Amino acid sequence: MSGEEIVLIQRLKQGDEKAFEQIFRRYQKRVYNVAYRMTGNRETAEDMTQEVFLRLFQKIHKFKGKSSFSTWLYRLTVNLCLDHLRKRNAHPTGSLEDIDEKALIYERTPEDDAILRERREAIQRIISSLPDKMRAIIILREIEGLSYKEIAEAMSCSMGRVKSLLHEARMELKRRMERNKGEL
Amino acid sequence: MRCRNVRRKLSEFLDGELDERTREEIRRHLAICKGCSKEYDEMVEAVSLVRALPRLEPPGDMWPALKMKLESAGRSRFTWRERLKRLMAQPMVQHPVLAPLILFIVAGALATMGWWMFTRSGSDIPEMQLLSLYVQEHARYYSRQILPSDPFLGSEVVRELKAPAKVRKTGSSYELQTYISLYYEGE
Repeated sequence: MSGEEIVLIQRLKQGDEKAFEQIFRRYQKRVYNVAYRMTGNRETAEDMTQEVFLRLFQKIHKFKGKSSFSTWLYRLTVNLCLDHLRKRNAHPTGSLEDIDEKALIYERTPEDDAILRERREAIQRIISSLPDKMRAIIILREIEGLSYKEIAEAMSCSMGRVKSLLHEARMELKRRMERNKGEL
Repeated sequence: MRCRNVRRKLSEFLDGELDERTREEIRRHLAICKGCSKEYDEMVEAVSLVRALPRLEPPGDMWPALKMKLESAGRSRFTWRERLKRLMAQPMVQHPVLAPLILFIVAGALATMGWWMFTRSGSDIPEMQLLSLYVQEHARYYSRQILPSDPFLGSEVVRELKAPAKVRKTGSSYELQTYISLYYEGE
């Protein structure tokens, strides 16, 4: 954690709204991306992002600096998303058809065309079809690029569990991609 | 190394999480085993497709909406325990000199107020002056007679003072009880 970040967190602990805004602007993209990849729906991802930051404001006093702030925030995000998915699975209202990559705003990529979009939609559908914890670990490792240790902290589990779950998740991802080869 | 053991370690092999010796063993195995090699290549391809997904830009500025939610939720989102924890996180509360000083001043003020209320004599209260006079007269009158069960019954002054709200407000209930007990003891 940088010195500036430590000061920001300290100010946030005192309820400083300006510090909260700075932290929000710094991390909103990461949280939004995890939330979108977890839920597969942009509106839900937006709601989840706001909920994560509201929860952050409420629970910042619990952050003791044992892990990095970003790992702690990932943990908050993953937990909220898993809660949301559990509730959604218990009372399903939407479906994976919600995925609409056309409506998403990507960073500028020159090769951004219809075929690529369709391919991304298919990949996101496969990610969204994975069991919740497998989905979380794939997102944290492959999209967010977290280390095993950071994943263990973000998912509140042991390193051994991270290794085995990641292996299972990758194998499952591979199997599902093989099944949907035509779309990729 | 057997295929089963190799396949179990492919994920860690991909991430470079294995020690050099195990890595070398797997590398050698993959070079000669088509099945494991295929399994590894497919896993790498699947992972690569996910890793190639671009980062999304959040839709517009989410801050104003979040700020509104924060304001509308207000402090009701915090439980008393959380509020206390936030208060305890304040630097002034954790200050080694200021915190005990503030505590001392507050405790002193409370103690002074309590002492003042405790020692406030009944004679300062007009009703109590009346009661005092009444009790003196009453005692003088009855001093040579057998006391009835309630010597104050029927007295206008006492009836007024016995009105619960008023009695509680002035604290005269306690004073009244004292006078009664003193009166009986005197007899």
